[in-house]
Amino acid sequence: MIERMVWLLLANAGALLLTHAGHRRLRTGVAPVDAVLFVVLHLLLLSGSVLAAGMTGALSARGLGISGTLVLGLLLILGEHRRIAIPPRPEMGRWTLAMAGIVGIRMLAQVWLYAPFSSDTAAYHLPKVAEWVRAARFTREMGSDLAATFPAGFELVEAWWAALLHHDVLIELAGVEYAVLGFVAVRALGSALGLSERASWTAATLYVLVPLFNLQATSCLNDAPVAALVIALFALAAWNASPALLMLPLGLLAGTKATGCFALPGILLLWAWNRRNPKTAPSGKRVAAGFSALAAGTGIFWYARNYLWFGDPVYPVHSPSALTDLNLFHVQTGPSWNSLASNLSTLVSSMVRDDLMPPMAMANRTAEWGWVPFSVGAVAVILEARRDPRIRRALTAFLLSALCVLAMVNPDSWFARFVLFFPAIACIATAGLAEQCRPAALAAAAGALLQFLGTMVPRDMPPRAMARLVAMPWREKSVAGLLSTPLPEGPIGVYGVARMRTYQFYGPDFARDVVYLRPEDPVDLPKLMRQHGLSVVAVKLPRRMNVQFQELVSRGDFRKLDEDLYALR
Amino acid sequence: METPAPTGLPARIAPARAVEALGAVALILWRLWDTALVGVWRDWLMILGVFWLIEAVAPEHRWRRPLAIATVAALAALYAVGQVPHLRWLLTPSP
Repeated sequence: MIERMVWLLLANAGALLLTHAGHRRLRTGVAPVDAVLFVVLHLLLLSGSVLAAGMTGALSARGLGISGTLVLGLLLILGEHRRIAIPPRPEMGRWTLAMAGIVGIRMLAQVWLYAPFSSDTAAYHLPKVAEWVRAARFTREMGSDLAATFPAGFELVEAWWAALLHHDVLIELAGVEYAVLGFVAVRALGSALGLSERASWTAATLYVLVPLFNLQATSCLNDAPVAALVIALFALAAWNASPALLMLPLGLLAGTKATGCFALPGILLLWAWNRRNPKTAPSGKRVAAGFSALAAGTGIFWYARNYLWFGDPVYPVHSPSALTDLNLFHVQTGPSWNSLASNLSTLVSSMVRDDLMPPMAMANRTAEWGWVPFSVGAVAVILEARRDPRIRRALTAFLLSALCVLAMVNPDSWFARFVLFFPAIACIATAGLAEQCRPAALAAAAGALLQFLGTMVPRDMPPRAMARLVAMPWREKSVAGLLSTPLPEGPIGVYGVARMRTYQFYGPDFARDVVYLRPEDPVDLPKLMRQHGLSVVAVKLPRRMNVQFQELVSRGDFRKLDEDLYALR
Repeated sequence: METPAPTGLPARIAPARAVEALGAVALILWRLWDTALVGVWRDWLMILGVFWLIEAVAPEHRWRRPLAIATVAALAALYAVGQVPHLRWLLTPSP
């Protein structure tokens, strides 16, 4: 582990210095935009590194560590470290600085204390990361879930942290890095919309405290990263950034989740409105073009892979099967007025009130925008939009984006996650109003405090289970430790036709081999398990198939160990 | 370092009152159509629509500020009512 920690430090030092070198040639001279570009570029370089390592079989602590050390050494020889300029202390105001600092420290503590816990994460986001880390390269095996083949741009950054330690204790740092992007992006957008330096930082802090954004930052889900990228695009559009600069977050967005791209019409509208303003251009156009190409590559990669492997860039969206219903797999293709009407009505009538479920990273039947956007933010949006045409235009663009997303996604209990970027405009309006009106500032401060307290612990799991997870030693920290029966040593088979959490079976150090079994008929399962030398299998089947499997259990072929976990006799 | 905002548009240009009033009325009508009449008084968008309409059509007056504060308080109270069950859920030991 000591060796891996050394590689972790060296690789991250190399990545940061490389980001610095690239950023020097990308700078625009506009401080808020440059802050956004630094974070976007860093995420892009991490993503590109993992893509390259994944394709060449170097996705390991040594592979990434040695490459990072070489980059670090080269940049040190070239004297890049001498060009590091410490940015001036941001003019945030004492209270905002304190709150932002506390939120940041709490996020780092959550990274350390939590293990991946949410259901989507365990079902299809992270099993593929586990397979990659175990094989030290990209694998065709990505798990049993139908959504496993979706674009995995966010998982690239997760794989960076997981592969370097060959352990998932720091995997949530990927979400924290995107939270930093959301933070600086809201600040840049606030500045573009005429907020003072202090107010734009206040808006950024309020946005990081939006419950869903905050909870997702340390839960390995990708909706907060998507929201951060969308807001970064809005910010660059508001500053009339050149297309090469816009391409950087756009490429990452396309590679993370398609729902983010549905927000593009509003971004383009805001960009078009600002085209007469002075252009925000990179200092090095060729370097910007190179990074744009890299960003486009990271976005296109997943669609090209799916086309090569499955014959469809958005596989399995166009491949309906009987399994789609069983796997909660409902993906809408194309816009729908019915979806728009239904989603809009549900969002504003019910979800935005956050009263049906407690705050959780999965946001089940809630929007989790929080107190501030709902109360002072809603009033501030009206007052500020009436007062300032820049806010009015941004609000119109945000509304257009939100409506486009709502028209493109299926009505379900979770769609509000796809418009998580929207409360950013309410946070900006709140910060603008708070500067002129003391009661608004007090209301925003009280709401922010309540949101901070309400997001101490995600309620995706019962508090007692979460407390047990937090108390586990870091080496063994995993939701697998919450099972009533400890997982047996050795490999585990997975027979999951319906959606199931399989990530926990790998273990936090990815030590256990997980074999995905796909027999046509449950009756063939024992034979298949013996062929693979498996004695334990996790089973999640639709009703008819489960009846067949339970017949094998009652016949004595299997013994139940835990929920969904069986031993072959 | 204060970076100038990119737009040359002058601030404090209010949109035409009639357009605004139409927008607010449209919002109110939508909420009346989309919400059960018995619950319309506690619909947050209805409250916001009425606030917007007053802001759009009423002349400048010193009660505007208290009205805005009252609207924020009403919305915060609506949100708070929805959070009570979650506090109870948090305090109840899980099985």
